[in-house]
Amino acid sequence: MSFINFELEDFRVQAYYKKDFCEIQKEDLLGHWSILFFYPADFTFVCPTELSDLQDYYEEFKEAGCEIYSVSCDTHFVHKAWADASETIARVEYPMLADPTAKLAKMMEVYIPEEGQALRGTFIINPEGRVKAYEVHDNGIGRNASELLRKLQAAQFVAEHGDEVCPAKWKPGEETLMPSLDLVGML
Amino acid sequence: MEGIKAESRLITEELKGQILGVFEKLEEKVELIGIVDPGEDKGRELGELLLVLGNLHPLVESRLYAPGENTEIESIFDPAMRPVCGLFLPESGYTGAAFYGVPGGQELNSLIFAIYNAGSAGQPIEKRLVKKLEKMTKPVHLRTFVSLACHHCPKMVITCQRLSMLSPYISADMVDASLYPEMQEKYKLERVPVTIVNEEDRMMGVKAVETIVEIVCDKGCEKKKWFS
Repeated sequence: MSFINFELEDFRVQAYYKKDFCEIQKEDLLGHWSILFFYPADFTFVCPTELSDLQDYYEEFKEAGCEIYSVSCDTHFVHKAWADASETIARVEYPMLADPTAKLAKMMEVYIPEEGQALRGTFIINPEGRVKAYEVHDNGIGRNASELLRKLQAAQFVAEHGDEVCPAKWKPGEETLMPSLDLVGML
Repeated sequence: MEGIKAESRLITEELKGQILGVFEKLEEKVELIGIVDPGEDKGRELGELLLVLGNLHPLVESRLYAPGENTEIESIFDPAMRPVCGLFLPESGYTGAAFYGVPGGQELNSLIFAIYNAGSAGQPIEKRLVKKLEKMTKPVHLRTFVSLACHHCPKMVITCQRLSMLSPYISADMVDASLYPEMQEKYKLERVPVTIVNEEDRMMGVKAVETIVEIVCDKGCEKKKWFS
């Protein structure tokens, strides 16, 4: 099944945010753009790289009116322990959601039951709580925050202007394209 | 014009048949006037395209001028961009529709529609919108930047130029943005179509004719002054 336009179901989870614990629910994701950023588990090697990459772009995501929510199937206590133990994770300013029951991971179909972990899934959610773009990687394949920012901006552009636009990829000195008369049949 | 033949690689025999089918619906003569430099690739290409179209049907004529040859007609167009062609009617003159660059690719649709709209009753449009346009008293210039591969772009160009045929105050350009890097930079063009209105506002993407009429009338009609 495709998750495009899938509306998030109700949820309520614990989170580690601003060196404290708090609760995050579906309503907190409404009214602004959000990114749900699933990763396999705390205290792993590729994950801090990805989360740190996201932190490097966090200001730009905020400027674009988007909040980032990282999610793993660890508890919020483990998130805190990871932040206490790792300088890289201590830098993270966005909320780290705890999904030990895998409610969120199962909802977005990124849960691996035999491992009790989530796949590397990224979901761009619009202010109405609907998925507008997503990617799911096998766990060995990392993601790129700048590419994610570009996708977010493209989703926001389409939301604002409609989808009847084309990206302009001009090459200097290009030969004039052969014409095609697609519309004259409308006369 | 020396150096430009009435042969164009852009117009195949099959296309000629389709275009002729449209030209047969024309009711009055349409003139395609190009300002083209035969020593320049794109100028030659546009000139050839116009000559081929001008040979297809007695109600479509084409004339070419080299830069500087007819300054009166040339002054109608933006001097910063060449080549260019405009659509003219023998009695009323310039229709307000111009093409900067070569309208190949998807943009041939725009050119053929513009010729049709200039030389016939044109595509149907609601009377209430025409009445709104009749209230215009100030010029409004619509400049639509396109990419020749963009299948959305002709819809915007066609609508804007359709309006230019309905009001002497509206002019509507198609600009192939790939030919003018300085324009890409000036208007920060990353997506197409983008339509610049009187150098002040921009419309992104394809807009409904009602929306464009609203914007055009907002710029081109006198505002009512209730208390003076």
